[in-house]
Amino acid sequence: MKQLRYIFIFFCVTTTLSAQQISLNFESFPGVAYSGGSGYFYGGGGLELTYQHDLGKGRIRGGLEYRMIDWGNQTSMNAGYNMTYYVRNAWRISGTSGLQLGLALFREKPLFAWGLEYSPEVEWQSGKRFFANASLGIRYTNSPKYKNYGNINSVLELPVRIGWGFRLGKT
Amino acid sequence: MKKLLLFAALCTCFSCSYLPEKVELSTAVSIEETPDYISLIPTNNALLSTGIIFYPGGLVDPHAYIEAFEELVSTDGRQVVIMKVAANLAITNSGKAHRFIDDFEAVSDWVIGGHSLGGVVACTDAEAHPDAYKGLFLLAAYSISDLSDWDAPVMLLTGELDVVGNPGDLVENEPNLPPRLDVLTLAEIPTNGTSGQTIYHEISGANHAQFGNYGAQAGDSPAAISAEAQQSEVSDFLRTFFNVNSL
Repeated sequence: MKQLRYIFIFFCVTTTLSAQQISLNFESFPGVAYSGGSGYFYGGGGLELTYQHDLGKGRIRGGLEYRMIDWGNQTSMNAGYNMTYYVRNAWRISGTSGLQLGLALFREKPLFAWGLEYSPEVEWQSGKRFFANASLGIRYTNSPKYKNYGNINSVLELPVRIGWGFRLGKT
Repeated sequence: MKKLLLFAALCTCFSCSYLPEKVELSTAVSIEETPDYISLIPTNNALLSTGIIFYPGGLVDPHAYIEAFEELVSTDGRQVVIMKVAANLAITNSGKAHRFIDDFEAVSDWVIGGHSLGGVVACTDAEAHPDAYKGLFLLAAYSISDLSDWDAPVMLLTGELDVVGNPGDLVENEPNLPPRLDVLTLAEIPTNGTSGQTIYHEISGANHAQFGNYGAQAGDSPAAISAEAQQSEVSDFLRTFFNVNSL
């Protein structure tokens, strides 16, 4: 319960400041390594709802994610910073460094899970309000207590993300 | 917004899997685990040429079946491969077992099986690849795929007190399996083989959840026998099933 409270506060801090954009991202998680081994595997799919607003040279970002993973299903609150690298006309190239704090979904007791990710991203602005984005990154995810149940409790994956969003408020 | 949150909460609840009970495995079983499967190999016994590949029940952590197969691995010398499936729902990875059977060079023949939803998917896999498997066993499951003309042996074990599985579904889908032969005891299983037949056996006092080790399942009845006793009877029937069919 305490963990949930901290996760909620963490999420509120990153999203209550005048959110400017909202996007829905479809995710796919090909994997390359796991605790005790390496090699290609498919980690599953996922869905992420993201809020972000301009801050400095980039954007601060917060989101809710639901995904499949080696140990079943997982939900998390994600937060990060999206740094702008290049902008030209309707195109924007950036990179997001992010943190995920969440729960591996089990009936008796959900297990805490965390992750770290870096994803370069391409964004295309359509008109004043709508945009599309795509990214390919690298993410490490760990569920410490799952080690009590299975040999694999951490994975290294290359998340592929495609999303659509729109800008909130005046444009 | 409220509806969205309710939808999200419902999705979350319906995505929660059953955790396996912590078990102490004997040193007679060696475990190799990858993101795709859990492989159980005997350490003190010669490996038999026929192995078992298995789909877990829906929203059940695959590790929950390790102890259930321990006897067949350690005592009989069978390799057992428990598939890991996306979202812990075998229906998302129908056919996955077939993609991995060639990874295990020491095993030349395979019997496919599954518990509950995993059993349904095992049947789908067998229908799609009938020459890849030498037999099929179902634990509290039925087939929605047409295997009625399949000449391999099939065994279907159910629990007397299982109320998770719908008896109506078993009856309705019985024509999808080879012809039924009910057996009450091991001695009634034909010794000259059961190819082209489905051996039906109901385990007295058994329920749905104790085909694995993941605690009580919502909607299931308490069992009148222990999990050990239920799984031991499963092992005994599977052992006889393998032996009479020279698997």
